[in-house]
Formats: sequence, C-alpha cells, structure tokens
Amino acid sequence: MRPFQYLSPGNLSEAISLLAKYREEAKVIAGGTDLVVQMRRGVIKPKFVVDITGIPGLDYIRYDDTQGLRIGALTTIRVLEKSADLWQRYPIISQAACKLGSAAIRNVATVGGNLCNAMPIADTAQALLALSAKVRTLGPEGERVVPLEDFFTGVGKTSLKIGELLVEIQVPVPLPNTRGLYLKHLTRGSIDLPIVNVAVLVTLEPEDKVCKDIKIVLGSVASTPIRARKAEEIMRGKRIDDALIHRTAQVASDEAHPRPGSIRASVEYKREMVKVFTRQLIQEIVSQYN
Amino acid sequence: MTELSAIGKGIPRIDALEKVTGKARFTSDFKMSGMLYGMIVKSRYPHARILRIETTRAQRVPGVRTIVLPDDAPDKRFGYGLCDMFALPRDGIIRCVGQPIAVVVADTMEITEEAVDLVNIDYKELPAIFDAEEALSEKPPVIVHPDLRQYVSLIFPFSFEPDLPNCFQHFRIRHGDVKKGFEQSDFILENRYSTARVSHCSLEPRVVDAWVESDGTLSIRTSAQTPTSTQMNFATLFGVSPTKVRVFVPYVGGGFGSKIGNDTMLEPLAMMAAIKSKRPVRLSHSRTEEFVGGRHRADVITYIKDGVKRDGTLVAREMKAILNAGIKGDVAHIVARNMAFGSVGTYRIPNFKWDGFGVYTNSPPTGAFRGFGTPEVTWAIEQQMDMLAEKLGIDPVEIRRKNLLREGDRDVCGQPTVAFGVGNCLDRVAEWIGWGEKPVQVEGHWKKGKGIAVGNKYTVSIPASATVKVHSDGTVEVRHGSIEMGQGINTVITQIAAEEFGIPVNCVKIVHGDTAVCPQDHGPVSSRSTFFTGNAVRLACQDAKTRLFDMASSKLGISADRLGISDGEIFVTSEPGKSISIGDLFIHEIPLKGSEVIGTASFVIPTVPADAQTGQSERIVAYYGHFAHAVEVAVNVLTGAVKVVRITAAADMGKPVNPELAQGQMEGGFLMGIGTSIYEQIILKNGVVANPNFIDYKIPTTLEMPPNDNVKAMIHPVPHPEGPFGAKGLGEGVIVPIAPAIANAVYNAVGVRIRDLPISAEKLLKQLKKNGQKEKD
Amino acid sequence: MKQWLRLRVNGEDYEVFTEPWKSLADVLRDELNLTGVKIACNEGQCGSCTVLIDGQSVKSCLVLAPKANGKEILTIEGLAKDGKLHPLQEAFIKHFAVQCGFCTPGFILAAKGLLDENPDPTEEEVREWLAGNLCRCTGYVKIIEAVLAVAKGKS
Repeated sequence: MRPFQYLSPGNLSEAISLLAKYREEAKVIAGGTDLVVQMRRGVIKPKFVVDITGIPGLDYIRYDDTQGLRIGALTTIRVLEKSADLWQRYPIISQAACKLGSAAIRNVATVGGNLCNAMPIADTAQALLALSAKVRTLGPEGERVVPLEDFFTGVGKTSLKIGELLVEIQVPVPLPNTRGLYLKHLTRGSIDLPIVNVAVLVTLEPEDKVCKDIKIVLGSVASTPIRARKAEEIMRGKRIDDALIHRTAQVASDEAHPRPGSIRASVEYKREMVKVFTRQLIQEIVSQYN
Repeated sequence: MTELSAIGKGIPRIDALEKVTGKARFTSDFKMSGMLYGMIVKSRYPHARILRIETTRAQRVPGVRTIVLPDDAPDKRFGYGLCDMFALPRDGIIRCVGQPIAVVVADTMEITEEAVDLVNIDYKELPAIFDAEEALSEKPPVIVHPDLRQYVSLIFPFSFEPDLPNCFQHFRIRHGDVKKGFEQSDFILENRYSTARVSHCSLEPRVVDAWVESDGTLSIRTSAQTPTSTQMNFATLFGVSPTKVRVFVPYVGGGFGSKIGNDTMLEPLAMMAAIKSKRPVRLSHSRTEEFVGGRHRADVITYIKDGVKRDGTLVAREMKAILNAGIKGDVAHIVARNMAFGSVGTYRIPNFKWDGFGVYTNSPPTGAFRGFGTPEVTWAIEQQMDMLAEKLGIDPVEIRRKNLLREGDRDVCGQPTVAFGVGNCLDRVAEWIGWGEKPVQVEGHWKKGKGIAVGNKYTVSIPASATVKVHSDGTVEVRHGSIEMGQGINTVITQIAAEEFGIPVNCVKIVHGDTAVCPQDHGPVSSRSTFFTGNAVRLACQDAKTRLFDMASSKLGISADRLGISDGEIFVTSEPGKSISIGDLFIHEIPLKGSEVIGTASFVIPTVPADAQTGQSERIVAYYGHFAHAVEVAVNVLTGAVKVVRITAAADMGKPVNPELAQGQMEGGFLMGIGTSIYEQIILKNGVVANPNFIDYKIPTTLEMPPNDNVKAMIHPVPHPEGPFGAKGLGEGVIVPIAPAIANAVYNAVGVRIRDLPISAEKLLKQLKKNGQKEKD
Repeated sequence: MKQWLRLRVNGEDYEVFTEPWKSLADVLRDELNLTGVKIACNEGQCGSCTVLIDGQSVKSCLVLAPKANGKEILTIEGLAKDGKLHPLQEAFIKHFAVQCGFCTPGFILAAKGLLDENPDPTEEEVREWLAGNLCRCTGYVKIIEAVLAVAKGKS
C-alpha cells in the first residue's frame, strides 16, 4: 500500500473542509472494507485518507409515520441487519443487509460506504432504489437531497461533488400493501459477489390482485444498479397472473445490458438469471399476500 | 495378536494445542533482524524477448538495497525433475505472463513495491501458444523450449518425442492387443474429456527467508514440502556441497502438492537476493501472486475408447492423455508420466494401450496437485463406466464390480495386485447412499440424483530414513525428514514410536524440519509419509531397542531375544518382574558402552524401471490405495446450480494409524473435490490469470458442504503387508473419484453429462436448455 | 508519517508507533509479536486474520492501524485464561477440528463472536456465520462439530 496521510476529523465541517482542500487526492474511509482492498491492489492511491468514523451523530435509524425512514450514513450493515424495527417496516433493506459479505465484514461496513463505493452489485443500493430512496449530502456549498437513482453515475462513480459527504439516507413511507424481496444469485452460498442481484417491490390490491405499483431493480447487469422500467410498465396497473409475470420477467431480462467478457458469467446467462429471479421474486411476493 | 496401545487409536493431534493457542509458528511468524523484503518483477507478456531492463529509477528509491537481475542467475538449467529453466531468464526469453524477471530488495515492503513499479522493461513480443493439442502437433506455430533436446532429467530417462517439438514427456503402456480387443467387443464407446486448471489455495502463501550463515552455509526457512530437493538444487545452482545448504521448515499451512518443488520457484530467488544484498531476505507471495505464479494443476485432455462385451466385461481400453504443463516441465514431467497409473490400479483389462503426453505452452507453470494426475484421468474413466452401464442396461455398481482387479491379478503394467479393498468400499458407499432407491425429490426446480465412482491412488517408492534417540528419562526422540503440513505425520510418527516402546504418546518427542539434523526423506509427496517415513521410524525404533536390549541383556544376564520393553522398563518377557529401567541403564551400562542410545534405519522398496516401450514392470509403484465415493446432488434446473446434498466415501488405505486423522483427510478431500468439480477454475485469457483472488476463484465455504449428518467418511482397511502396522496412505486418494461421482449424479438427476470440468452452472444450464429444446422438437 | 496508537490487546495496554497504512493485523503480528493472527489473503476474504474488536468479530487485515486506536482487541493468544483453555480451544482439539492450523485462530475467534451473540445456534446458523472463514484442509465438518459441541455444553 502506498504511504498516505491519515486524517480523522471530529466533526462534519472539519471533514468537509479537508475534502474540499485536498480534492482528488483525498479519499473518505468509513468501514474500509472496500477501500482498503482497492488501496492494497493499487487501484486507488490517495495521498490523504479522511476517516469519518470519528464524527458523532451519523449512526442512527429513525422512523416516523410521515417522514418515513432516516438512516445515518455511518450506520453499520450489521446494525441494519439486527434492527427488529427495520425487519418489520422495511424488510427488503434487512434482507439486503444480511446478504452483504460475511458477519465480520458487516460489523464494520457502513451503508454510506456501500452506496458511495457505487458498485453495480451493491446490496443495499438495490433495496433502497426499489424503495425510491433519496440521499442527503453535505458539502462546502451546503446541503442537497438527491434521489438515489441520480446518485450513481457509473461504476464506482457518484454524483458527489468535491468536498461533499453523504450523511443520510431517506426512505419514504411505503404505500399500504407493499411488499418487497431481495435476492442475490451467487455461485457459492454466501460471500460471493453476485452474478445478478434483484430487488422487487410490489404494491398490490389484495382483493383484485391488481398491481398498483412495482419497482424492479437489477444489479450487476449495467454500470450502475438499474430500474427495469419497461418491465415495470408492463405490470403496473394490471391484474397479476402467471402469464403477466412471465412477460414482465422477459422484458426485465431484455433491459439488462451486462458487460460482455465478464469472467463471472456471460451476458446470456446473466440475462437468463434476471428473468428467472424477477419471475421468482414476483411470484413469491404475490403468494405472500394470500 | 496383542492389543495395540497406540496404533489404530484416535489420539488428539500432538500439535493441536500449539495451533489452537496461536503458538504454532509458520515461516512468516519468524523474525530476523536486519531482514530485507523482496518482490518479484514479473513478465507482462506470455512470450517475449527481453530487450532491455532499466533499473536506474528503481535503484534511486531510498531504501532499495539491491536488484537481482537475470545475469545474476547461475548459468545452469535446473528443476525438480526435468531441468529446463534458469532461475531468472538468462537466455533473455520470457515464456509466460508472470514469469520472474528480476527481484527488487528493500528495507520495507512499501519501498519494494514502489521500486518494482519503477523497473522498466522493453520487450519484443513473440507469438504465443496456449492450446495443448495445437502445441502437441508436429509443426506447432510456436516452439516454447527450442533447446528441449538438451535438457536433463534427474529422475527418469528423459522421454520426449523427437517429432513433437513441444512434447517433453511421452509415457506408454502396452498390454495385450487393443486392435484385436476392439474387434472382439460387442460395443465400443469413445469420448473426449477434459479437466480444468485449478489452484491449491493452501491458506498459507509461500514464503522464504534466506540468509548466508557466518560460516557460509546457505540457509533458508521456507514453507515447503521437499527440503532435501532444495538442498540438492541449491548445491547445483550455487556450486556448493549439499552440506553447505540448510533448510528449515516449520509448520506448513497446507501443501496439497503446491509446495513440492519450491526449490525451483521462490527459494533460489530469495537465496540470490540474500547473497547479493549480504543481508537476510524475505521473499513471499501475496495471495494474488500465489494464484498467478503458484503452480496450478494442469488441465488434462483425455481421449478414451472402450470395448466391452454385452455382459459388461471390459475387453479393450485405449487412452490418450495430454497434459498442458505451461512453461515448466519440472514437476509436470513426472505428473505427465504418473497420471497413467490412475488407469492401471483398479480395473482388469485384457487389452490396454496408454499414451500420456506432457506438452509445453506459454501458460503459467503447473505442478503437483493432490492426486498428481490420477483425478484427471479418473474423471474420464469413471464417466465411461457409467455410460457403458447405461448403454448395456447394467447397474453402474455392477459393471464396476465385474471389472475390478482381484488380489494377485497382474494389472496392465504387470504389477501384482496386493491389498485390494475397493470392492468392499464400493459396497459400503452404495449402501450408505441408498443405491437402488431413487432420491427423494423436493420442490419443483431442484432435481436430485445419485452417482458413484471408484478410483485408486498410487504411491511411488522413495526411500526414507529416520533416527531415534532414547533419553535417560525414557523419552524417545524421533528425528524424521517429512513435513507437518496438516496431514498429521508428526502425530502418526508419535503413535508408531509410542507403540514400539510401549510408552504414552507424551513421552515421544519429534524433531523435524531441519535438514542439518533430520535424516533424508524427500518429504510428503505421493501419499507416502505414513508408509515410508512411518516404516523408517518403526525400523529405527527397533534398531534402538536392539541396542537397549543388548545392554540390558548383560545387566540382567538374560539373552536379548527374551526381553521386552514397556513404560520405560526393559523386562524379561517370561518374568515381567525381572526388569531394569532405562534410567538405570543410563546410569550403569550406557556410560560403559558409549553414552548414547541411537537407532537409525532406512526404509526402501525397490522398484523396477518401466520398460520404455510398454510401461511393464514387476513393481512400478510401491502400492495403491483404493477409494469409492457416492454422492447425492440437487440440480437447479432454472439456474444450472449443482449442490452436493449427501456425500460419502470408503477408503481402503490399509489399517489407519489414527482413524480420526484419516477421517479428517477424507472430509477435507470431499471439500476440495466438490470445489474442483463445481466451482473452481483458473481462467486464462491470453495467458493472463483473470481471477487471481478469492473473490473470483471460488473455493468452497461452510455453505458448500452438506450438513454434517449427510457427510460420511468410512474406512474399510485391508492391511498392507509392508505398511507400518498395515497402513497405507490416503491424502490424495480421497479426492480422486469425487468429480466423476458428481458428474454421474448430475446425469442421474437431469440427464446431462458434462465432460469438461468444472460442472459450472452456466455450462449445465446451456446443456439443459439444449436438451429441453430437443424434447420440444 | 508514523503516529501513536493506544490499544488494549488481550487485557494489556500498549502504545505503538506505526505508519497509518499498516493494518491492525500487521501491528498485532509485527509490533506486538502476536503471530497467532494470520494473514492468508490480505483482502478480507478468508477470515484467517479474524480478531474481536470491542467484542465484535472483524477482519483485522482490513482495519487500518489508526482505526484501532482506543479499542479493545482480543486475539487467539488472549483466549486462554491463567493456562486454562477456552471451551472452543478445547473443543477444537477434542473434535479434531485442526489440521494445518493456519485458519484455526481465525475460526476460533469468529466462533467466539457467534457464541457471544447467539449461545445456542443451529448448525445452519453456524455455517452461515462461519462462511466468511475459509479452510482448505478440514472440509469444515469437525469445525462445525466443535462449535456446536461448545454451544450445547453451554445451554
């Protein structure tokens, strides 16, 4: 690993001014589980590492019935995983959290870090996108609230400006009768980077099985996590039956555009898995209503 | 027969306490003052001429102490076996991506890493060849080792093919007349199979600390399996006597064959660095470097043609196997020869023809991997047996039973079959897996199936020596030359010595891992340690006892042949009350006769060199171990994923010295077998390892093994007449039949046969869809 | 530029002067001579470097040294108390859960992390938790057996 200067600001404004000062030469570290690996491989070589875990007040899960959910960026994945409240209200986030890496990784990895690392495979990203989450950032020019969809701009790239920090994730109150599932398709049982990961959120009128709303988020099949919007269109407002689920899954599969030449899986296989799992997740969600 | 006190008992490992408290030391746990850190500058191209190496900028980095360059390498080709490489490319030719070109040495790893990036190398790229069959042709587009004809083999007469410029090994077996055999057959089946390149992934990466002692002794501490080979090779390379080379090997964190022939990898580079810098140097592999330069299991292509009678009897078998060695033939030229024995040790075949080839390509080097060629060949054979069974309407277990060798039969190499227990092993696994009962199917998209396979693993004959010293307090100190890499050899040796002397195991002390002190052994290769090292220890114990009895006999006035020993006492067997303690002997007798009691012995099994044309020999290997595996798998028909849900094996490895350790080897073998069948593959893209880390090269985790209740390791021993207390070896055999058993089970589940490892989800799904398509059409 | 760290390791206080790019695993091994902490991949994939930080299992190769400042760390060397082995250490010996031993300290500490949180896990839960620790020798069979034996002993 290349030598660097380690800085640990004690509050947000200190952190922001350090980032503004050192610009592209600085990198933020939270849990470090992604960053340290990249630094060790020489993929990134920051001259300044700004450790924000010393900043108080960024580690919380709050909920109220009007605002919805607020998660502090430094909340560890493990805390998300163990929050009974979250399992009750937003189980899709909990499912994503418990699938991230292994327990020892989840103990230190943060949700903010998972998002800012901006890998198309990021577990929490899928779930949060399905929930139409927003992120609140703080920078030299003040505060911004940005839809998470606009936050990811490419592999490892976010819309964060120089000096900006992600401080909070905001999730609206879901519509009634909304259920979601997250699935990560792996080669092995657990700690793999996924071949594909899919999050599906469905709002269903239980009596007539009409899909009021659906969000399908696909990971590992583009340079950012993506919404399968065309597939969602197919299903939105319609009565859900097997044929519709199959069609929706097929369209979702067509919307996936994985990079060719990946050593993990071919384009055809990834697309096939998108189809299989989109179908499976919708079917499972629908059966939960019965 | 008297009850054995220590043999056959599952006593706890003698090193377990050290290992669970973190006190057990591995090479990188040692510190040397003034130690420098080295890193290898590696080639970026698969085949190139080095035009220029520019090191000025690297040398200017503060803290860089020296850079070892190709011209510093001794002008001698060397190798473990076939001597085909220089330590660094003195000939100016790079033959694979990742090949070491130079070694940078500096005060810290950070400085070394920075300096390595500043070494500038100009190359002229040359065309490269990666495909083994293309490389094996008479006029290949690329010749990897143009000087092949001049190379020397330390182990066998060098058997290359004059017409095949990239072929460094051709081994033949001829038995009977296959042409006639096929004419007599009722049914013929011909297929092509292939195995993948895989990596050992021992948890401890390679590391070497090298230094020159004050008396000029070239010393290294290393994570290795074959320290005496290092001694010999260093002697050759550095022009010193082997006694001026000292190799220390502490605990080794996993070998599996990866650390056989370390002496042709990091070790000479570390030594050159230590000599040039005049300081101790640590040269280690990061995990990435382990994946790139750590020697893989070569991929092997096997063509097999079987002729059978309608009743399932094998009449003729013709096999051709091609091993893609990469750039180094050194260990590979032994694997390319010995892989033949996988086809020899199990079945009775009246007409047999084998041609095994080792071929060079511009891929990273390969070497010894648990099984040493036998699993690769068994992959083909055991699927053939199932396919023949299906074609003839015979049960797969039955067709195997029908064709097994019998005790006393000569195998296709002409060696008599001794201690052959696979029939019983087959029965036991068939029973456990519920052969004949269809698997209980579950929810819709998982389909279950069962599969079975048998195999063997030969052990070559390499002599071992041992020394036993009896101390005045009754402690027995055993010095042996094998290496403790997790297989439990130190515990096994302890039990043997405890049994011989009739003492508790904690009265045995083991000295290992130092070539200056330990006897010649060669090391844990070919599943030989229990048999060879164990026998040498047993004989050395007996030698020591003879000396004790001689001395006691004069003291007790009884002839030595009437004496026995137990619990530190030498007693008259017919009058146990009449005895003398070892302590008393040391006081009264031993000072008069010489102050030490040391027993030494060597254990040798003479073998007969195989005929160059026919591979025939009265004894070509020391012995075979025999194994049967059965698995139940679940295949996901939507994703192609394969999960092993139940797995069992029965091993005939002679009478186990420690059944718990044997069982542990089998369970570990299950896991490595599952991994190398389903998940693992070194992916090469133009000679570059594309997945050199644990993220993209997936070894099984706890979740890839079935629940404990569904895992059963059984031992069905047939004592070997020459083994110590009847023991053979099993370290490698435990993995041999797993891949074909899984392939057979997958076929049973979903009707798809995969002939090219690994049985990956994507491959399987593609085939499933094709079959589904066929059904619709 | 080196900086000072204060750590409490295995119940003892230490001050270490080290570069911030060293990992906690490096510091424990090289500065405090606690070589029971093993580095097998240095990328957080194999778990051999697992230690407990403030009671939680963490992969120490991924922890930059300064982040360990002020923390309480437990390594394998600190598990036995006054010469008495921890039940997990005893179980690993008794159940033959050790072969080459390189992954052993990481497994034992990871298992301790599990049992401290969930004293009576199912086999499935043990497997899930330990999926972040790799072993190439044992097949995990006896490791799982040892951990479950300790859990049952407690309950």
